[in-house]
Amino acid sequence: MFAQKRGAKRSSSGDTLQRRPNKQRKIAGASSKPSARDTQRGGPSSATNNKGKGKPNNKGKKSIYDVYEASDAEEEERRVLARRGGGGGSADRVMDLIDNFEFEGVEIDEEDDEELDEDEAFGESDEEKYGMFFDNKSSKKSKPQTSMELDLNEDDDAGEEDEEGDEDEDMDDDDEEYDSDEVMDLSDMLNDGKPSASSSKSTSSKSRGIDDVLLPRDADDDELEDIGEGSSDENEDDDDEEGDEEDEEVDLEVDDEGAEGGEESADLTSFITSLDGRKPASTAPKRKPKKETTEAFEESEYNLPARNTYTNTSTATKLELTDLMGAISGETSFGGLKKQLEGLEKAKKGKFGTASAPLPKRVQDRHEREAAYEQSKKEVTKWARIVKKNREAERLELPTTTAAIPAISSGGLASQFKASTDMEKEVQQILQEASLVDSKAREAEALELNRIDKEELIERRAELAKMRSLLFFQEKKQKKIAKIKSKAYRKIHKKDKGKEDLSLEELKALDPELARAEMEKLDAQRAMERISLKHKNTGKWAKQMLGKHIDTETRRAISDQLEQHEALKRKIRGIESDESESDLADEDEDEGPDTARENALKALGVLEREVEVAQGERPVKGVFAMKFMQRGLEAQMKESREEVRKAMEEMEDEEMGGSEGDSGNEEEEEEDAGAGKLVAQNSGRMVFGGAGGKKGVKPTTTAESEGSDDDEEMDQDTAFSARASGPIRIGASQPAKTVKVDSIFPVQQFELEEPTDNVFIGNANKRQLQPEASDVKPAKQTSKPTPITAKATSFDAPATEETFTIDKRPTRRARGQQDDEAEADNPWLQADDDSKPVKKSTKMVSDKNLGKTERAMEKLARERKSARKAELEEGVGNVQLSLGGIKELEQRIDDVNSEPALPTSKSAPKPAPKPVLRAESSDEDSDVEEAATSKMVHTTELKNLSRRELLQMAFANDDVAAEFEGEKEKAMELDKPKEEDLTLPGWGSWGGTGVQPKKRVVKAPKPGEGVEVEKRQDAKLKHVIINEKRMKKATKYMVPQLPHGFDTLEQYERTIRMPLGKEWNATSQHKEVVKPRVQTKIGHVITPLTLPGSNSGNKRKGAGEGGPKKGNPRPRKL
Amino acid sequence: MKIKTISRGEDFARERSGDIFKVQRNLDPTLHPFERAREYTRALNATKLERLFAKPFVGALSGHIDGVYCMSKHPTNLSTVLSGSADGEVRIWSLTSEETVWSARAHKGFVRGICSVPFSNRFFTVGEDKTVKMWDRESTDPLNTFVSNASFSGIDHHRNQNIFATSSHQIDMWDHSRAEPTQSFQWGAETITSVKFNQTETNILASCGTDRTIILYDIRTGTPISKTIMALRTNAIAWNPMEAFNFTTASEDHNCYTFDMRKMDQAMNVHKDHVSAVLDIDYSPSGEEFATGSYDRTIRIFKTREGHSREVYHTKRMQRIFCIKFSMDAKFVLSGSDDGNIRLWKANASEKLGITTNRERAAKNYSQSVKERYKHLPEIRRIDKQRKTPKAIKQAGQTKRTMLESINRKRDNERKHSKPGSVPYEAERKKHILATEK
Repeated sequence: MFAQKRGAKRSSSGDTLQRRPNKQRKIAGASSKPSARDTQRGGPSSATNNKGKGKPNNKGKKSIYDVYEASDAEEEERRVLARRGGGGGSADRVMDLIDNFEFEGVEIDEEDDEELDEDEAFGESDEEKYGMFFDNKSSKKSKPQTSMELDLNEDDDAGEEDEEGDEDEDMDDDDEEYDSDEVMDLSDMLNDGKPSASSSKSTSSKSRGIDDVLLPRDADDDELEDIGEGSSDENEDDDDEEGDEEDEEVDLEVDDEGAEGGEESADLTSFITSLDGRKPASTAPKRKPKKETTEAFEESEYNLPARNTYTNTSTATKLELTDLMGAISGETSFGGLKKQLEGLEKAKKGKFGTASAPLPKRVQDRHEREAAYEQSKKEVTKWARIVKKNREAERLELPTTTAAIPAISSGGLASQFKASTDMEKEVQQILQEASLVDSKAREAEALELNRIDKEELIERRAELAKMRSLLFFQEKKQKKIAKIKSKAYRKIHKKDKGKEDLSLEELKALDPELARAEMEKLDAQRAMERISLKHKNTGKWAKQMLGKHIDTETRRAISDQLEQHEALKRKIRGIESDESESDLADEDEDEGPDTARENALKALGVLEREVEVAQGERPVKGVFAMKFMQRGLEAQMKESREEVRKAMEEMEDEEMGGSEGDSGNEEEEEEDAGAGKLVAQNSGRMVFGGAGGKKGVKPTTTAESEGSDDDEEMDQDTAFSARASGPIRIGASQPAKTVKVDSIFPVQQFELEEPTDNVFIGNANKRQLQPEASDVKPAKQTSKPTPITAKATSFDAPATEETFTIDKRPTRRARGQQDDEAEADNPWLQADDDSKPVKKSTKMVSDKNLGKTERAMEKLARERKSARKAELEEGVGNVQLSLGGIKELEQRIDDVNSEPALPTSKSAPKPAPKPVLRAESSDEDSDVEEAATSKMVHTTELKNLSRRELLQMAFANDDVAAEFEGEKEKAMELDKPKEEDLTLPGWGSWGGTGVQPKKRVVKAPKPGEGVEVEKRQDAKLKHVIINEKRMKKATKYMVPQLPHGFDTLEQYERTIRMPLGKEWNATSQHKEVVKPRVQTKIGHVITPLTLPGSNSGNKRKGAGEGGPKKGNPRPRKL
Repeated sequence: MKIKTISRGEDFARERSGDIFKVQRNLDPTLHPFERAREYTRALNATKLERLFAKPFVGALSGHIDGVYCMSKHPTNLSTVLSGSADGEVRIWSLTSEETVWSARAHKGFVRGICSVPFSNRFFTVGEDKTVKMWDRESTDPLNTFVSNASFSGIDHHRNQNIFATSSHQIDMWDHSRAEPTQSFQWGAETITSVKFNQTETNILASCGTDRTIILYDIRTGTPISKTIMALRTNAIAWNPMEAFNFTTASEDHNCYTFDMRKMDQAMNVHKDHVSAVLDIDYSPSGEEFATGSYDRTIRIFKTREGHSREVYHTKRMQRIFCIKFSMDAKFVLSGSDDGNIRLWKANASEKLGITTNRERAAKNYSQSVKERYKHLPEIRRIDKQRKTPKAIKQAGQTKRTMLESINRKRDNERKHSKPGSVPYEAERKKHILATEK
C-alpha cells in the first residue's frame, strides 16, 4: 500500500500531492464530496478534519499521528532499519511495517473508514511513546492551527533529495499561507527542531517555478478532474468542478503570486506569517540543543539524509548534487561524468530544456483505457446488424437448422467397416481378393464434396431437385393426359396443336412443297368428309340420339359434330377464297350444277364472318360503347349468327336430301330446284327482321358475289331474303314514287350515303367497301335527286319503299334534334339511342320525294322540341305526363298516311316509332303496329323527362330529409343532460293559511351525465346521427387505454383486424400466422450467437450467413 | 314421420390411425360471423386454461448438506449441472435421472465459483481457501490446483479458448496449463464479487465489486475499459447470449438493470418486481428472457425488453436463492437455494412436457397467438397477470410501493414549492447510476 502511494505521489504534481493526505481515505461513499470541498477551503477547522482523515488508514495498527507525516520518509526509515537491523527504531515500528504489509491489497471496511479526530488518533499512550518527537505538542495544543499546518505539510519528503522532493516540498496554492510552517519540517521536528535555513525557502520557491514549467496548471487540473472518486489507490479527489471553483475563489490572490515568482511569494508569506503574529519557525528554535553529543548529529534514521554534511548540523537543507559530486571536481578522471554534470548545470540554468517528465501513470492508464474502450465498442458494434435483424425477425427458430450433412453412400460406409469377427474377416478377405472393396470410397466422396463450397453445393442440389421434380411432374402430367378418353378433349387438343402450326400461307411462303402437301391433305380430308358425311346427323348414333329425348350433353355432342363438319369445309374455303374471288367465280362456273348451293353457302359463310368482324369492332365511344348497349348488340349478333347457321344448316339439309336421293345429275337438278325452292319458301322466314337494320345490310354485301339470276328471282317474289339482297329493286307494284334503279347502283353506293348514320353496320362494312365506294362517288352525285331505295331495315321492308325515301336535309335536322334530346339526359332512356340511326335512315330521301308523312313528323318534332324546352323552362316542379302532343302526332301521322299509304301495306305509317320499339318488337306480326303505337306514347313521354323529373316522380311522396331531421332532434333531446324532478306529488303541499308552498325538489344532472347538443359528435354533421350512449356490453372488447407501443388507435386496430382462426383463413395462412415468434425445441442446445465467417464462435460451428447459429450441429438430447 | 339421424359416410372409418381424415371447411364469411367476439372468447379461455395448468415445479435435486451457493450448467451438454455448496462440496447432477453422478469435497470452506469447460468433462472450482482446482469427472481428485494469495469469489470460462477468469481483489486470467495467472486486471482495490465472460464477443469480461462498481475488461487490449458506479451494489451479471453488447445486472436495490456496454451512462431497461436484493441472474440462451433469484425467496422470469416479470415461482420450503441457471434449451430453470436443494422449474409454467401431436401443437399455437392478440383487453389482462405470492412478499411489495409513492410525493411537493428547474426530474434509467469512469 505504501509503495503504491509513494509511486503515485512521485508521479503526480505538487499540487495534488499537497492535497493527498487530506483525501486519503475518502473512498467509501458519495458523502465524501462535501468533506473534500472542506479541505480545499483550507480553513482551520477543515484542516483539522483533514488530519483526522489521513489517519484511519492505520487505525488499529498503531495510532499513528505520523504515518502520513512520515509517509514517504517511512520508506527511508525502512531502508535504514534494514540496514541497521532494527536499530534506532522501536520494535513497535517494525511491527507496524509488518502490519502494513499484511494490509496490502485488502480493502478497508466502511466502519473502519471513519473520520478520526486528531486527538483521538493520537492518544495518551501514543504521546508517551512518541512524545520525544513531539516536544512541542503542548505548544501545538495551545496553538492548534500550527499543528494543523504541520500536518498539512507532513508529506514533505524530509529525505528526498531529488527534484520530486522539491516538488513535494513545494507548496500548493492553498497552503501557501502556511509557507512559514513549511520550514517546520518533519525532519526539524524529529531533529532538534533547528530553524531551517531561509535558503530552503528560496529553493522551494525556485523549484516551484520549475514545477510550473514542467507541469502546467492546466494539465494538473485535467488530471485532477479525471481522478475518480472510487479509486482507492489514489487519493479521493476534490476536483469536481465545484471544488475547483471554490478552490480558485479562495486562492485567487495566491495564484497570482505563484505566477509572479518565488521571491515575491516568499515575501508575501513572510508578511502573512508576520500578520499572524507568529514568528517564523526558523527564527524561533523550539528546542535546545543537547548538551552532550557523542555523534555529530543525533542518531536517527531521519536525520541522515537531511543532515548538512558540511556544517555537521542537521538542517532542512537538501542534499544537493554538488554535495555528492563536489569531490570529483578535483579529480582528473571522470571526464564524461563531468560533462554530464555540466549539461545538468546548464539545464538548470535554463539554457537547454529538459525532457518533460512522463505523464503520471494514472493518466497514462486512463488514456489507455479510453482508447481500449473505444476499440471494444467498435468491435462489439459489428454485431449490431445481426442483433437488429434477429430482433425484428418475424420468426426465429432456435437452434437454427444447419444444412443437412451430406449423406454417405453405402460404399463409403462399407469402406469404414472393420471386420471384427472371424467370419467377417473371412468375408473381407474374400472381397479383397476379388478386389471388390473400395477402401477409398469415402475419402473420394469427401474430396468430391470438398471441392465446392457449401453454398454452391446447396444451390446445386436445389437446382437438381427442382429439375427432378419438374421432370416428375411432367411425366405425371403426360400419363394423366394419355389416360384421358374424352373425345372432346382430344379434339380440342388437336385444334390446339394445329394452332401452333404455321398457317397455310406462311407455309407457302416458306416451303411451297410442303404447303402443297398440306393442302392436298386438307383436300383429302374434305373429300372424306363429303363422302363419309361422318359429321352430319346422319350417323347411326346421331339418329338414335335425335330420336330420343335429347339432353344437353348429347345435343352438345351433336352440335360439335356439326361444327366440325363446318370447320372442315370452311378450311378449304378459307384457302380458296383467299386466292381470289374471281377464281372462285370461275370455279363456280366450272363446277356447274353444284355452284348455286355452294355459292349460297359461301355467302352465308361470309355473312357469318362479317357478323364476327362486326362483333370484334366495337365502338369505344358514345352510346354504343355503353355496356347495356353492347350487351344488346351481342345478343343481336348471337341471334344473327344463329340465323346464319340455321340457314346454312338448312342448305345443307337440302343438299343432304338431294344426296340421299340419287347420284350425279339428278342430284344436281334437285339441288338447283331446292335452292330455288329455298328462296321461294323462305321468303317469309329468312328475313332477318329481328335483327333490324344491322342485318339488313349483310345480305347486300353478299350480293356482290351473287349471280344476276338471283335477282330475277327476287323480282318475281318481291321477297327480300338473305340471299336475294343484291341491289334492291323496287317492284312493279310501286311505280309511282320510285324510280327504278338498276344494277348500276350497287349496294355499296347506298351504304356510302349514310355510313355515319348506320352505326350498326357501318363499322362492319365500311372498311370493306370504302374503296369501291369512292369509285362510285361521282355517280352518286349525279343521281342525287334520284330516289334511292332504302335497304331493308325490317322485315316488312319490301312494302315500305316510299316511307324510306327521306330527304337528306331533314336528316341533318333530325340529328340536331337528337342532340337536343341528348341534352335532356334521361338515364332510363339511353337504350333508345340505338333507334336513332335507324330513324335517321328512314328519313333519307330526296327532296322531291319528301312525303307528307315526313313533313308532318318533322313539324311535330319541332313542336315537341319547343314544348319540351318550355317545360324545362317552367321548371321541374310541375311534371306531368303530357301525352297530348304524342296523341296529336299519332293523329297526324295517321292523317298523312291515310292518303299516300293506301296502296302500300299497312305497316307503312310507322317508320318513326318503330325503331323505338325495336328492342321489344321481335315479333314479326303485322299487328305490332297497334301495340307499338300504344307503347310508343309511353316511351316517348319518358324520353321527354329529365333525370331530375324522373327522380322526383319516383320518390314523389317521400319526405326522408324531414323525417331524418326529426329523428335527430329526438335523439339530441334524449341525450341531453336532464334535470330530475324529485317532488313527490302530495308531499309538502299542505293546505292552510300561512303555509308557504314548498319549492320543487329538483335533482340537477351530474357532470358528465348526458351530452349537450352542441357537444355532440354529430353536431356539425348534417346527415349523421351518432349514438352517444356507452355500450356496456362492448366494453369488454375495448382496451381501456392505448397499449404501449402504439401511436394511434388505428394502428392498434389494424393489428387485431384480421382474425387468426381456421374459420377465416386458409389452412396454410392460418398455420403461418399462429406460429410463435421464437421457436425452441426441447432438448436442443441453443448456442450463443456467432458472427458469420468468424472463428470466435463455437469450435464446431457450422458455416453460413448471419443469424444465430447452432454451433453444435448435433445437439445432444437430454 | 321421417327421423334424421347423424350418419357418417362409408369412408369415415380410417384404415389406420395415421390416415388423415380430411375435414371440409367452408370459408364463406357469412357462415362465420362475429369473428372478433369469438376469438376474444377463445383468448379468454386460453388464458384461463393456461393459469389452470400452470404447474412449473418439475423436481428437486437434494443432496447438498449446506446451502448451494454456486451452480454451473454445461454449455454443450444439457443434462449436466454442477453445483457447489457452502461446506466445500461439489456435485455433478444428471438432470434426466435427477441424481448426483459425481461428488467430491473440493474446498475448505465455501465453494465460491464453478464453471465447466465446453466440449469436455473438465471443470474448475474456486473457493475461499485461495485455491483454484481443475477437475475431471473421471476422478474425485483434482487434476490441478492453482494457489493464490487471495480468496476467490467467482470464476468463469472462456467460450472457445482454454482460458478462464477468476475474481478476488482483482481479475486474474488463467490458462489451463499454467500455474500462474497470465493476466491481471485491477481498477480500484475493492473486492470483486463476480466475473462473467461475454459469450458472443468472447474477449470481453464484466465484473462487479463491493464498491458498487461494474467494470468491463477486454482481454485483447489487456485493460479494464469502463467502470460504472451504481447507487447500490451489483450482485451478479449476465450477458445476453444473443446480443453481444447487452448485459443485465442483478442489483442489491431489488432491481435488475440492462445495459448496453457502449453506453454505460444509462440503463437500457430497469426490471422491477423483486422485493429484496437480487442475488443471481441468468439469461435464457434464446436471449429473449432471463431468470433471477432473489433474497426474497422467489424466482422471477423477465422478458428482456419488458420492465416487469412475466412469472414468479416460489415454494413454501425454498429459502434464499443464491444461484439460478436457465437450461441451454431455454425450457427449464434451475435454482440453488440456502436450504441445500436445487430445484428444477419449467420456464413456461403451463407448458406440456413430452410428445405433443401436431394437432395439439397447432391448437397451442393458435391459443397462444389469440391470447397474445387480445392481451390488452381488461379481463384477459387481469387473469393473465394474476399470481399468488406468499403473504410476506405481497406485503413487502405493498410496503415498498407505499414508500416509493411517498418519496415521489415528497419530491413532487418540493418541486412544486421551489424555483422551477431547481428540483429536476430524474430518469429512472439514469437515477441509479452514479457515475461512469474512464
